[in-house]
Amino acid sequence: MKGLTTGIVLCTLSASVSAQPEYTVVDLGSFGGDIAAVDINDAGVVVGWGVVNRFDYQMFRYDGVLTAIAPLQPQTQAQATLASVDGSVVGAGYSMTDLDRDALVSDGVNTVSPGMFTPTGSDSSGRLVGITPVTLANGFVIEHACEYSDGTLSVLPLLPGGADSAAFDTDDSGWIVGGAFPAGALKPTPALWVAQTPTNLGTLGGTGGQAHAINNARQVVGWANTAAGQPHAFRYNLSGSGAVTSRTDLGTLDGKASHARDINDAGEVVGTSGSHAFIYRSGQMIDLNSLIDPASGWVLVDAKAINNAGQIVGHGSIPGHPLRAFLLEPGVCLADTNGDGVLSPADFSAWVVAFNNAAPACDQNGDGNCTPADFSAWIANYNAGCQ
Amino acid sequence: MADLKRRNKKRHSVSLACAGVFAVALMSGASLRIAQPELGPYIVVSQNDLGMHCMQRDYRYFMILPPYNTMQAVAIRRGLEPDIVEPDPENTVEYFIPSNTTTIDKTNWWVYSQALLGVDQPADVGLTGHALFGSMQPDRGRGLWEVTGVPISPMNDAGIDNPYPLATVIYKRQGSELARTQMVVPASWELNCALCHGNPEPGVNTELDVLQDHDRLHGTTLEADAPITCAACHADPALGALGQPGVSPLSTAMHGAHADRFDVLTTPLVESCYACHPGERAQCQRDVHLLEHDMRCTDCHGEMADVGDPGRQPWVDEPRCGDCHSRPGFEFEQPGTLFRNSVGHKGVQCWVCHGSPHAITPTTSEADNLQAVRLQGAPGVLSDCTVCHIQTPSEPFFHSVEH
Repeated sequence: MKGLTTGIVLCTLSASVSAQPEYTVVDLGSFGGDIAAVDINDAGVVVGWGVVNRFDYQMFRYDGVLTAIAPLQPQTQAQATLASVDGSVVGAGYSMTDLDRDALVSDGVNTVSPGMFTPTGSDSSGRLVGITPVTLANGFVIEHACEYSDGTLSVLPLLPGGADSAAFDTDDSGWIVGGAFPAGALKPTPALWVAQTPTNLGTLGGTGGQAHAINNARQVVGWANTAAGQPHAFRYNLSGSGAVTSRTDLGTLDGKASHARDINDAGEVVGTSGSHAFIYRSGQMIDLNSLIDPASGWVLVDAKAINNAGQIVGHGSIPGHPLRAFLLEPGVCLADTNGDGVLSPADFSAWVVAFNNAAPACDQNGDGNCTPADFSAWIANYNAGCQ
Repeated sequence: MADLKRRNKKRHSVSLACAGVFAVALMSGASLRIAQPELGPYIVVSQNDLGMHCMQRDYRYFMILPPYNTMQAVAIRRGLEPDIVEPDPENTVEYFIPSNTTTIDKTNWWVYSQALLGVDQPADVGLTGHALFGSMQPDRGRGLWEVTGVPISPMNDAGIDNPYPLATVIYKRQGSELARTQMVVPASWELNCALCHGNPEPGVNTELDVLQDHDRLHGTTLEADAPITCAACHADPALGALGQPGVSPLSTAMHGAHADRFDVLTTPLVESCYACHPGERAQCQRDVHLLEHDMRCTDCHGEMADVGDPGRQPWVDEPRCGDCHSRPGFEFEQPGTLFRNSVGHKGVQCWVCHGSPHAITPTTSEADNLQAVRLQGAPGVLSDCTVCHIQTPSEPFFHSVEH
């Protein structure tokens, strides 16, 4: 079909259409119940948790095939929290009656527990950070940021006089971000640990917040309260000493609240606002629902992670499935008009249908309109092929 | 008890290189005991009012209950003759929940609060204006502090499900801390309507199916009116909602309408009640009655048809301790008052020693047992007199309001 040219009587001349989707939504499937994706590594391995046997949570791994990973017995519950560089599924296992959570690392076949903590972040060497419950001599159990490296679990120092803390991510240089309670405070503040020393990164003018991710460009994202008391997603840039050099309030989609979950090395931020997943790039917060095919039936609720290839994972809903895991693949193959993943003559027929109905798939040249020029653009896209 | 054992724990040894400022020890819940605690001149005891609070994750179609939790606290000055601290402006009680510091990113209740309730609630502020942290309100009449409508969810900030998050509660006088404690702020969104309603494969939403069934059976237009608040028509004391005249209370309607439909359930449940109430995971009924006597929901509440009896007053006609417990010279609850509102020994709230309804200590949940362990060294009812008395009294203890 290379060099396809044909004559065709076009039924209409021009119609305005919505923008061509920027992302293809991949439904990861389920085990018969709720399912949520929480992380994706640079190789595209997705991890998360899904409900099995109606009520039990289990970790899953998705690399084109959805695979459930059983928890260590006799635990019955496990939730993945991150995908390691080597594709291992990392998460927390627990029973419903326990205070503690056990870290789990699984290659899909074998699962081991490196210690008693909830892992939340890792670097490219496999070093983990997370949260561990620590019981003080007086019987109080506090939440404590921790680090697991070379077989040793270490708790990270609290802010001076503070009560609790949590670590959520780390970069390849060993910097760790999370939330920590300052002395006397009832809310945590975004925090940074460098060489075991905690620093209060500050907020957006209010009280309270948490840092949830850091990239290798030392950009930190999370949420912090504004002076008006609203939690807003933020991005802070850090200097080589860990000082905050700029604070950006990423805004909201709904005027009320937003939470940033992750940032890739290109500085693209994902998160949730008003129960809609967003991406923040080029200085703008964009509703990811506006970047997918509206006919897909998806409502993207929360974007949990973005990798360096721009793939995004999270959870949303589709009819009949109120909590469903999604993977957003950037760079839709425009000529694959019928969306079957294969370029074939059937795509031409699908494009004609799209043209006659002024459907988004008609717009092959990205000008926001459905015109005869899109026919030539479709041919060009087809001949260019798709990866 | 088989299902409890199925969900039981295991442990891993772990080496801990402590880099923090505390001398710490990781402690198993199974060994939740500490040496006899050294208590200061004051203690504060705090509990949730019901032992469990239900909420929904998704409010697109209807609201049964919002994110809402009630916490209570009592402060006691220890001594030969201890005193209950008077809740006045000089004395304050603060609370925060370290593992759950925001909720608006975990549920869409704030998206729909305007449509459901006519009020556009600020972020992370609950139905009664309270947040996940702050000061409890003094209630001088009852001799305690209380905060209602705390909008907590069962998902912690790391995204892990936990129906039993711990709150830290601090008693202060003139701003200086005198005592602190930890309590469970239970929450669950296990409403398993999907066991019967909806069908994922053709893409019929569970909640939508519920509304469609209601419309079909009762001639309503709920699907068109969604999102709706059930208590707008069905009276619900849990929300203080009066409902509409001629419409049965929500509890009566729900239990009555479903009582004869459970024979179609194909999913085995620990408790049939857990088809709607939390739940197979949360196990709301987790207290000493289950732990030591294998007592289930229906042992106290009766069968579903009993709960749905139109002659029963929801939230008033509840089980009484005295229905089972009796001992000469002892009293169980104040006359005409439920356990959760009763006071006993020297005017102390019953829950101070016994814990919350459905979580009367010791419970199957380690988190529930923590407060008693910290105060007396072991889980269970606070039975060590020296928790409040600096010296064990010579006179015998009577379980009554008068003593």
